[in-house]
Amino acid sequence: MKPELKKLLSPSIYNNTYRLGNVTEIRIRIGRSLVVLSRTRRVKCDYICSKSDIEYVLAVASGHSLYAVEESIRLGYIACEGGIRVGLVGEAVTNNGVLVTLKNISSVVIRVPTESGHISSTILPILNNFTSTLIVSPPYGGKTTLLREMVKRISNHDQDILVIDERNELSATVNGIATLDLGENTDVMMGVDKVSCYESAVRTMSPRIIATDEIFGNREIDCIIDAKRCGISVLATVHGSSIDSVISDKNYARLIPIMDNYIELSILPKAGTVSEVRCNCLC
Amino acid sequence: MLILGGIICVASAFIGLCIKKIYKGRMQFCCEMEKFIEMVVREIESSKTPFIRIVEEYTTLSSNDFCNGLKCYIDISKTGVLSADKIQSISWKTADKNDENIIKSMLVSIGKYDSKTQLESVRKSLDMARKRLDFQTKKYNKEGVMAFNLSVLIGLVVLIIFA
Repeated sequence: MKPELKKLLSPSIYNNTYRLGNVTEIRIRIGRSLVVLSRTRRVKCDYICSKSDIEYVLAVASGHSLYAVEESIRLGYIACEGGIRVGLVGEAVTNNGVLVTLKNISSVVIRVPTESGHISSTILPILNNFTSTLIVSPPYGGKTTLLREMVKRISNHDQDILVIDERNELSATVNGIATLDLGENTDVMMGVDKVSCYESAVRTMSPRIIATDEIFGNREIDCIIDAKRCGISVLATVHGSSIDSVISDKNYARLIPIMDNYIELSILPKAGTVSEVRCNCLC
Repeated sequence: MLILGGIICVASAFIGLCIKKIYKGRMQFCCEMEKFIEMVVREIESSKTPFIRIVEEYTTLSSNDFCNGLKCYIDISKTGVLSADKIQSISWKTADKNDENIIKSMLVSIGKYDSKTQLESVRKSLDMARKRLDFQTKKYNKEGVMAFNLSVLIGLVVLIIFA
């Protein structure tokens, strides 16, 4: 078990998880059984989680300083050392319909990033001569892992990449230093929303490629289209069950003219399985 | 007799010095506490720095009784949840109980609120720390210095009598 993960767990949770080996996710819900996921299995433990277990995770994840992570709590997560992300669910506090913060946190999901180091041979041609690529995958399909690995490899081929890491999942930056390897020529803009970042980043960093995780909504699509117009290639991921299901959506269909390659991932037989690669699919 | 008088004079002056040192220690504790809480306010206001990091940074800048207590706080934080009981167990050699309570109540409440509420709470602690520093400085200048002067004087009187 990663030491960063061990630090986050209360002794009772740790005692129920350390035997399970390669843990990728831990789900803690007040009054419910502890659920632990690895790459190959899901285990429901006998241990019933309590409020103090969640308080422990929150205290350690926030560095005993909730004020320091209030922005990310509002977005429903806390980014921790080692790229671990703690997702939060609780009672929403709103002001004029706008979510201000979460209180009475009732569930937390601790997700541990995986570095595969492996890339499917079907993707290698895309890496050798990189042009804009969209990775499509359902949740837990391994899109962030693949994106990270692709960024690393492209970057190590002397290509300047700017990573827009809104949720600190790709770089796991702690005190300004990326704790996950993203390659030699990668710049990371972290903790800022994609829309705010695109314009300033394009002007100041002049990257050859922009990489970002989980594009969502029209404004982010507009930014990607704009970046492409500026001559920058884009490497992005999106949630979707298949390539066709994404590009058939009228909003995401706007990406068809600018994306040269599509990679579809599947969770079966295991997360990260490449089920389809479409190169220059308009041709 | 002269030697005995001399010894009593030196002992009396030494006792006076010790009393003065106690008052000085309390004043220095309040001074450090004020400096530390000012830093906490500044760091939360400007960059929302996590509290543990502020404490770590502060304790590397200087080494004294106040910092030693804060180091105990860091050690407790490494064990997991910072409960009020554990924080209450921290003690400072030089501090007055009332002064200790200001920093302890701040350590108990820190990190549990959003930045706005947290800042309000820390500023209240800062106000209290300033008042206590004022009080302890006056006390040192008046009682501490007086205790030393008196003890030296008593020693000299004894010396004269014995002589």
